[in-house]
Amino acid sequence: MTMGPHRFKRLVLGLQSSAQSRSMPLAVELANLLRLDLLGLFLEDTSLRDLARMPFAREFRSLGGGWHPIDLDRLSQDLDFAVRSAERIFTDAMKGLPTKWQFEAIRGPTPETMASILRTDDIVMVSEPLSPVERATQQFASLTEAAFRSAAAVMLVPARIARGTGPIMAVAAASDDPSIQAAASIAMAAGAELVIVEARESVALDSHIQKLASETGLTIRHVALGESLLFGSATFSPTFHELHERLVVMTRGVFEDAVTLTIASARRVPVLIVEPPETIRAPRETSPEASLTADVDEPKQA
Amino acid sequence: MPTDASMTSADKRRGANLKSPERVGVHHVDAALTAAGTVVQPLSADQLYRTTDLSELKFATTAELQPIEGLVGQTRASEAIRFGTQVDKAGFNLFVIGRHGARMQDAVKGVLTERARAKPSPSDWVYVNNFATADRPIAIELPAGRARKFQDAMHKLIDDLKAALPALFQSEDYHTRRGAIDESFQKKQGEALSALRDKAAEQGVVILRTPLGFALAPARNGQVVPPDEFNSWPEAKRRETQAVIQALEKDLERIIHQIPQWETQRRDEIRQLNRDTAKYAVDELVEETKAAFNDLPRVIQHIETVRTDLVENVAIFVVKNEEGEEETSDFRPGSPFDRYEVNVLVTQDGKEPGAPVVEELHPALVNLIGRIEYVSRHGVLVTNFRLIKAGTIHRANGGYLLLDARSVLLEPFSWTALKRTLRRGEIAIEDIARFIGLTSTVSLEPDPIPLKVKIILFGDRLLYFLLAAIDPELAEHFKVLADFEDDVERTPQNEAILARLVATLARRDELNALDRDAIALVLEYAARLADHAGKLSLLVEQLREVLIEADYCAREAKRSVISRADVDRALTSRIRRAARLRDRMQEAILEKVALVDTDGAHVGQINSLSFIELGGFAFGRPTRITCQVRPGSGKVVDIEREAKLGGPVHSKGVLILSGFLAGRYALDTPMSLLASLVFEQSYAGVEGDSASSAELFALLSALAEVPLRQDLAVTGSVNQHGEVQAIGGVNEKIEGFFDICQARGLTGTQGVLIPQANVQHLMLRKDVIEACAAGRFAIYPIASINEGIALLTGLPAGERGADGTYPPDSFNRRVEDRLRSFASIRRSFGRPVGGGLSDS
Repeated sequence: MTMGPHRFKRLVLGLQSSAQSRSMPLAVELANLLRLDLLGLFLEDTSLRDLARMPFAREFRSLGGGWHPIDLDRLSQDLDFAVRSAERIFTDAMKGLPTKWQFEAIRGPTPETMASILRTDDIVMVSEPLSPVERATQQFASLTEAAFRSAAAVMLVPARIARGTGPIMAVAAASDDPSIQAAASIAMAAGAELVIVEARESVALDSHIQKLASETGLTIRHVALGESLLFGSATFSPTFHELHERLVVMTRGVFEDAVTLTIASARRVPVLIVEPPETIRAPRETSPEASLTADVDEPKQA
Repeated sequence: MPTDASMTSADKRRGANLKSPERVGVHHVDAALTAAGTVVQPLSADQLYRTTDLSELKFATTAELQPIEGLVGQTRASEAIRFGTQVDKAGFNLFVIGRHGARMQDAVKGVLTERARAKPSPSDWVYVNNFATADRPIAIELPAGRARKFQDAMHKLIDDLKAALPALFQSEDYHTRRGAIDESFQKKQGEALSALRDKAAEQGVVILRTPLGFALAPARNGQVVPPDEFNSWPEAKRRETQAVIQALEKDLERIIHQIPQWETQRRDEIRQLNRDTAKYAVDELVEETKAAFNDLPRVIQHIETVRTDLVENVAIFVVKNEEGEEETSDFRPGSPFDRYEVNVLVTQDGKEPGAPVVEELHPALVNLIGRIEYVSRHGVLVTNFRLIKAGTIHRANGGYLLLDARSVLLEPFSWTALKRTLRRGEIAIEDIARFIGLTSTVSLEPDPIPLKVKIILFGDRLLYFLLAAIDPELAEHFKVLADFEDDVERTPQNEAILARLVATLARRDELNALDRDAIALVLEYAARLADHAGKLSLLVEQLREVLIEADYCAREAKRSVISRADVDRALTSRIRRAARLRDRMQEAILEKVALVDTDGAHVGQINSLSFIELGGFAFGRPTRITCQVRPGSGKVVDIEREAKLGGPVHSKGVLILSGFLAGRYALDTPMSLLASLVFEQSYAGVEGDSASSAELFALLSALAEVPLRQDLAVTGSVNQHGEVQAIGGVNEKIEGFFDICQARGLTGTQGVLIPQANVQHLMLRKDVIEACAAGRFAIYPIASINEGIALLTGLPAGERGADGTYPPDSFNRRVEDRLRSFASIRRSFGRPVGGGLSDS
């Protein structure tokens, strides 16, 4: 395995959920570390407007208390306000970011829109909402599914992040597991320690790790664990309690998506799921259903 | 400057009054005749100055003398201090009074320091947080020297917990249990919502997030059914879908309402887990901490309270500081860990054993009784028990507190706070800024601390007497008066003691040693300071100042021992520096701007002597007094009083003159005199009666029309019987007249008449003594007016004979005859003319 630069060019941050303000600093930090352009994407799923056109449509307002009819005009205003608000927050957060950044608001069905936007050199950040009800919504389910279906790497951000410092952990299933390279790039950029966890007994990473360490100058810790020990319980293996990692990097397909989500939730750290080389696809064409609800800014240099 | 006209007028007046110049010639100053024919002899040189007798002490320089500490020559004050410091009852505090410069504080402090060593060290005091009512911090008393140990132990406890608790809360066990709780609730929520989502999905409905909440919508393949499609559905299907959605809405609402309750339950369970987890570490460390204080129930009680609070508030130890601040910053006032700290208010740790002796030089309220400080946190002033600062009373508690009374009275609120503290018998820190409305921020009411201090106030006598008169509480709180003597009897023994004290002062200030003659002059200066040849001043500070200056002179002359010449030079320099005003006044006299004659004789005119003290320097100044008489209603007009320049004592002196005249002359005739007396060229106030004899001489001279000698000056007060009484400042007065005479040239006839009672006070300057010894100047001690008359006029005063009359040509006869003539004149004016009334 030869260490090369990471392949990511852009970080796509979904801004439509209530988790946006929490994930914004993380996105800025990651974009800064990896020298990524940052796209703030406000995705307005058209399903809400469809619902609003139905005569019986109503919403339960957690702050207003009780059920209220959904008025299309009012909904449009609220969505417009949400777009402006998200743009303002995003723009404020981008101050000082040395790379390019852009805000886009796009209206359309989530799966198609995501497919049209995301590229193989993207990382799409999906933030888990704090509210359990929001986690049960169709929008979140669609977003997660669309992210996983896309060619982009996915970063799952848990509702509560345990720590912002610590080593970068790669969970590797093979000696050439792409998660190692991705994690090493991030660790180098962050000046952090790299922890490589052998997810399968047969990996035998020692020689690769030595080579990686000599090439990168990274401090690398090697933890050998079998899959059964690694994911022996739903709360993740106790062995990892002492690692205090800040980010877990895994390769899609090594474990089931549900396991990946469990890791993010249990460890309370972001999990970056990178694509295996054979599945890296070319960027999809923009879906004809997707349409922009706001003018798309040219990339801005902060 | 006087004008020509005035001088001419003065000359005329002299000529008119000198009716018998051949009879009033200038007599030799060696002696004068009294009416009884006895001679008033001028004082001999040895009566003008008393030299030091150091026969009791064998030494060459003060380096050989044993130092002397404590109260020298203060038997009365010493007894009072012993009594006051040994009586351990409320109110028996001391008020030490004496003249400024007596260095009472130093002397008393020396005595107390010695006594304090034998007393037990007082307790330490700390303030700790009141966990029940944070604004009322708790005071805890600890045996001397243990407060710091308590503080360190609590600090260590918290420090240990800061290390132990995060480790414990990152342990596998804790994470497993915490994860289990979180998971259990997440599962509960997730299951409920998944069930709802699945149930909805089964019935073709999805949950949507709206900008303001949540909604349910009909869906197909996970996507909301477009409205057009929905509207194209059969009516029944649409109604069925609506009914399904309505039912699901109720489920969603129920779950949403349930979530806060689940969250509360989750937090409760986590709190309980945190408590259980924390208790494990806290209990062990708390028991370790308690072990060192098992003999102190109050401390143990506090630690137990801390234990309970620690378990309840373990989160502050576990929450990570995202800013990455230094750990030490956690102990800044206002940090969450403050509450477990110990504020050592007073400790005897590191101090000498014994009771404290503390002197507060700036007894502002906050310095005296302590203060509560504030820190700014996010723009708001906050405080807590750690910001309570001790006052001097706290530090002196269990010992002695020395305060300057004037300083205490000058500081706002200090005097009343001191009395309040003494009355309460406890020290309560008061936030005065709050009382007077300067601040409205939250403050504290710390537990008061029992008061066991002996307060010693220092002040001058006037201050004490004034305070005693206007503040009845003074007697309640300061029952013991220690009155410092200003001077001591000048015996050889006391001279020896003072010599040792001088040696001690020199040694304390690291000055050169003094030789025998230098010490002798210092002691003679002490007698001069005491205004008494037979006493020695105990105003040590003034002696010290002379010693320092004499040392400077010696060092300048490259001498390692201070000689008499150095002391003499120091004394002369001190006078020179301060005497500008005196010199200007003397200059005015010598230039005849201020008219004072030092030769010749004039009717109704005499040289009196004033005493002026400014800025610690005293000097005498000759002043001319004149008198005019004419028939009148028997009144002596004091022009000073009429012009409101005369003080009450001076006015009293003048009124005594009327009594003297009425009792001595023309007893069978109504007093028909109108006399006016004035201090010539005096433009400031006149006070005191030391010029009353001079005024009487001027009055009698005017009445008798007999001139008075101008080469003599007079000082002394007089009573109604004509006895001359003692006055103050006799040395300065004599020297004041001598300086003028010497400047004009000593004639051998010049001198000063002083009361006989003042002879004992004479400690005159060397040049005055030398002039007297050479017969060029004279000091006459007089006991009566008659003796003064003989000296000033050369005429015998005259005693009444068997026929009740004064001898012809005697001075008194002349006076009496003049008074009778005035009465006669007045009678002639008093006869009715044409039935009208006479002018009285």
